[in-house]
Amino acid sequence: MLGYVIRRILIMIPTLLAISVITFVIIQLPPGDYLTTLVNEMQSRGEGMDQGRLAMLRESYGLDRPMHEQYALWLAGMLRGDFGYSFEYNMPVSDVVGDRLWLTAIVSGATIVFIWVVSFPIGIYSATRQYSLGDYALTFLGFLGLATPSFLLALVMLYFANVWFGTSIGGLMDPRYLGQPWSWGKAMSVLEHLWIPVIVIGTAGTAAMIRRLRANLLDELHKPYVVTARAKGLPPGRALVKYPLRVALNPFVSDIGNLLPQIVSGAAVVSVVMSLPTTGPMLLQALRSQDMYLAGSFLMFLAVLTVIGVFLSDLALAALDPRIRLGGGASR
Amino acid sequence: MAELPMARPSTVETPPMPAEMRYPAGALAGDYARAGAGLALTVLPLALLPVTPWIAVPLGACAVLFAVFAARTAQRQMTRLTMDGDGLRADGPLGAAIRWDKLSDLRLRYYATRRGRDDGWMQAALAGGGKTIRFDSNLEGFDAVIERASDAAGRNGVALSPVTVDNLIALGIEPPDDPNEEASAS
Repeated sequence: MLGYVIRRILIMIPTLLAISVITFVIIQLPPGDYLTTLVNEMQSRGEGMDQGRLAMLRESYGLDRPMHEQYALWLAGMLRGDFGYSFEYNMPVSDVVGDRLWLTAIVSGATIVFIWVVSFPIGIYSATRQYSLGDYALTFLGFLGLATPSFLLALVMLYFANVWFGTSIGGLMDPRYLGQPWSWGKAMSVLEHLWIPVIVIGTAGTAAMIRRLRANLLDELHKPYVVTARAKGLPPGRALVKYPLRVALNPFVSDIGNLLPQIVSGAAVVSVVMSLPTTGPMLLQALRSQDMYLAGSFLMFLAVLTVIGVFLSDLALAALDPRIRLGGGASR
Repeated sequence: MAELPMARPSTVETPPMPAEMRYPAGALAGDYARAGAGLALTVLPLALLPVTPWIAVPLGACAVLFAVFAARTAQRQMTRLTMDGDGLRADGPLGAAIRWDKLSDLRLRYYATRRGRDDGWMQAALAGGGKTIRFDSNLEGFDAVIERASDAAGRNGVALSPVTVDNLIALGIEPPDDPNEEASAS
C-alpha cells in the first residue's frame, strides 16, 4: 500500500502545479485586468482616472510584470499563506475570505454526511426490496430530487418558511453574530441554521447516490455467487453484507472525489439565493470584477479539494477492493 | 465426508526458478527515482521558502512518507529471498523465514494508479509462525512463490479472502478450496 500511496502523491503534486498554471492563465484570459474594469466603471459614471495614477497602481499591484513573474510570485505567496491582494476589497485575500472558508467547509462536510447517511440505507432497502411499494415511493422521491434544481428548492423553502412560520431561513447564523469572533453562541447558531442549506444542497446528490447504490447492488445481487450462497443456506443478511454490498460500494466510494468540488461549486447559486456567507457568491463576484487573486485563490481551493477528494477515494477503493480487473495486466 | 484440508497432499511441484530471488535493478531504480522526486518536491520548498503551517504539515508528512519509501527500497535492494520445499526465507534487513507447514495467512492485493486499473502491480504478504514476509510482483520468481504459497495455504486449511482468490485466478493459479465451504458442505 505504501508504494501505491507514494505513486498517487507523486501524481497529485504535479497535477496541482499544472492546475495552478491553468487557473492563473484562465483568470488572465479576459482582456484587460482589474484596473481596466475599474476605469471602465468609473468612465460609465462620468468619472476619470489620470494615466499617471493608473500606471502607478498597475506597478504597485505588479500588473505590469510579465505573466510568468506574476505566476511565480502568486505561487510562492500561496506557500507562505499569502494568497495575494483583493483589488475590489482593498484587503489581503486571506482577510477577505475570513470565516467564509470555514463556513463553506462546515456546510460541505455536513452535506456529504447527510448524503451518505440518507442514501446508504435507502439504496440498500430499494435494492433488496425491488419493485415493492417502498421501492416505488423512494424511487419517485429520488427522481423528484434529481429533477428539482437546488436553487428552486431553496426558493420554495424560503417561501413556505415565510408563509407558514413567518420566519426567514436565509443565512447561516443570526445576524447579530455576523462579523463577530467565534463563540459558543455563534457555533450553536450556525448549527441551528445549518440543516436547511444541507437539505437543499444535498437533495440532488442524495437522490443520485440512491439510484447509483441501488443499481450497483442489484447487479451484484443477481450474480451467480450470491444465488449459490443463498442456495447453500447463508443467512440473507450475511449474503448481502459479506460480498455484494462491499463490491457495490466501489462506485459509491469513487464518487467522494467528485462530491467535494460539486458541493462547493454547485452550492454557489443556492448560497446567493439563501444569502449564505460561503465562498460561492464571493467567487462569482470576483470572476465578474476580474479580481484575479481572489478568484484564483477560490479556483485553486476548488482544485485542491478535487485532487484531495480523488486521492482519498482512490485510497479508500484500494483498501476496499484491491483486485485485478480481468482485461488489465499486472506489470512485472 | 470431505477430506480434511490438513490431510491433503501437496500437488504442486516447485517450478524452475532462480535459487536466489531479488528485485531487478530497473524496478529498484524506478522506486529510488520516485523517492528522490518526492523528497525534492516536498523538502525543497520546506527548506528554501517560508511555508505556512497549513501547507508545511502536509508537505512534511509527505516528506516523511517519501523517506520511509526510500528506506524500504534500500531494504528491498539488500533482501534476498530463497524458496525450497520447507519454506520461504528472506535474508537481509527485517528478514524472516516461514515454513510452508506453518503458513497461516496469504494475502494478494493488486494496485494500479491508472483509471483503467491496468499496468499495476501485485503485493503479497505471507504470514506464519509469528513472521510476515512482504514482497511485490517486481520480484523475480514472484509467480512461483505465490503458487507454492497457495498450495501450502490449501494444505494448511487457510481461508483466503475473495480478493486474494480473484487475484490468484488472474495470475493463472487455481486457488485452494475454501475450508469453510468444505466444512459446511460436509
